[in-house]
Amino acid sequence: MSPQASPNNFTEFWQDFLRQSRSFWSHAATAPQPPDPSHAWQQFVTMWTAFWPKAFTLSPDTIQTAQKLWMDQLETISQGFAKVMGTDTFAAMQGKFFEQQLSWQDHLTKTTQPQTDAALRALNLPSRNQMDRLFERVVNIEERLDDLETDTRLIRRALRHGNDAAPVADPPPARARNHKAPEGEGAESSCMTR
Amino acid sequence: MANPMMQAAEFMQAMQNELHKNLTRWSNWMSDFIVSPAEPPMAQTPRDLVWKRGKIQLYRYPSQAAQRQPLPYVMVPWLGISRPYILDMLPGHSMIEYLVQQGHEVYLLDWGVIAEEDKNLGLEDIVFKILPRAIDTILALSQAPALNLNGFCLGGVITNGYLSLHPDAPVRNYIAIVTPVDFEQGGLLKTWLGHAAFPTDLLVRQYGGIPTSLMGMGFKMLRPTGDAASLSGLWFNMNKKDYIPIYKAMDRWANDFVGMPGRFFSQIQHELYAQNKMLKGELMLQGRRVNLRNIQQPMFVAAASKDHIVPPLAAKGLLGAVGSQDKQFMELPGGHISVFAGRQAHTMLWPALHAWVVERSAV
Repeated sequence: MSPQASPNNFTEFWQDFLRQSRSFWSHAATAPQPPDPSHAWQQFVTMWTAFWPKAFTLSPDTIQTAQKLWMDQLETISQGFAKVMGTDTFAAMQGKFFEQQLSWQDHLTKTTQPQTDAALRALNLPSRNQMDRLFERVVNIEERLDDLETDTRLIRRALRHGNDAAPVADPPPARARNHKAPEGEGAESSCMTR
Repeated sequence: MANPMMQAAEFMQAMQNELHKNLTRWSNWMSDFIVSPAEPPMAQTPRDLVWKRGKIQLYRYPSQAAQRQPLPYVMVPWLGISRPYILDMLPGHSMIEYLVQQGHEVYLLDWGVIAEEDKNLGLEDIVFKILPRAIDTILALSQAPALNLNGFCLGGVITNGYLSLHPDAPVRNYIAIVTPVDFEQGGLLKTWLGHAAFPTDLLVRQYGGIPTSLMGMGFKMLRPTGDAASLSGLWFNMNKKDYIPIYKAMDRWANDFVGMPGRFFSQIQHELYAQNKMLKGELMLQGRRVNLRNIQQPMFVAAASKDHIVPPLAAKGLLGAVGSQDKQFMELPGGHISVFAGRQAHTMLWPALHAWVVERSAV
């Protein structure tokens, strides 16, 4: 086992991670606020206060008004979110938070990798890395086949032009002649599914 | 002042109508979501698989009209993020179906379900290898001298790159729908992805790209109330039987995310969102500069007024950057997807697009 994966180091890392998270969130909470964050809330309150007098006038449009108001409210909330999330402060905070999460996951993956691999070996199952390598090879083989097909077409075209002055249209590619259309969505081979 | 008795009577009538609507809503909910929750079959327009490279598949949708349009119509959708079957959503609500019924032979490049093994797929591979070969195949199959090329969203970024680097491409007309070009105007995505703190390299190293779950989370974050609005819309319209299959289809598609190859994402984030290099003419692919001025084809650019992914100004930037003389810009009401797949697309975008293409497609 690597020194990184020892239980003591792992606990220390976990504690360190908690410490960093705590300091990150306290920093985030005290960061300068985005411009006028109360604006969206004020709009929200104004809409509701405008709604209730209307709702009690016994108008036949009350239901329609309520539906429209609800949708307007969602739009207002969405705009409020967009305003806050569209700031540099939020982008920086999100980036840092995301980076922390990724670092943590990276560490966790590295730490648990030997045990996972050992368990998969014991069960006679391939690991994710082995599967990825296999898929990559399949994709590469398909690409090489495609390259070969293209080269063959070019050679055939050159030969035809050599034998015959008049250019002749290419035949459709081999796959167009041989393949039948798959039925509907999700017709890819199983290795292509998530 | 109105008679209070009359007003009360009208109110009672409205309440009665609403009660009736609610009963219909509950009944439809029971029948369409509990008893038979199956989604309607999507992507029903007849098609053939005509070319394949790895996961990438090229489909041909033969023309269904007596009078066939002379040039094939090629659709290049976004790479990653979601599946392109929204272009052929449901019979009667499908852009592809509409075009084939107008006599176009439509080709769709489907990038497939991207996963970790595709991490090395980048703009260069697509622009120099994949797209030219797909186009060769289309021309060989259709026996046409040229084609109409339509890029959607990030697919438009790919087609922009292809046309800029292949000035002699056999493309007669070019259509860019909700394609981001001026990334400075890219809205929330520009703020997030353009920020130096965004850990692209770490993300790509760890996952090989953007995994499906993260892609879904990112897009949901762009519009946190999106699901609530969509469910509210469903409830308000649940009494209309024909609304439900469209909702189900849209909902399935909207939650069917796919990942993005690491290399491609890295290029989009570093070169475009962070530095806007394509518009500035500084983007280099395989040592060659992507110069949008090389695009000389007649051009149709469509944007959506309520697009929170590619705001209209981000799409409009293409018009000033290209060398084309014949340019048309259309800003339509709606969002990023509804502009070309929503209910109003049938009466707004599709007919306008068809008329524009036909006018410029004479052989």
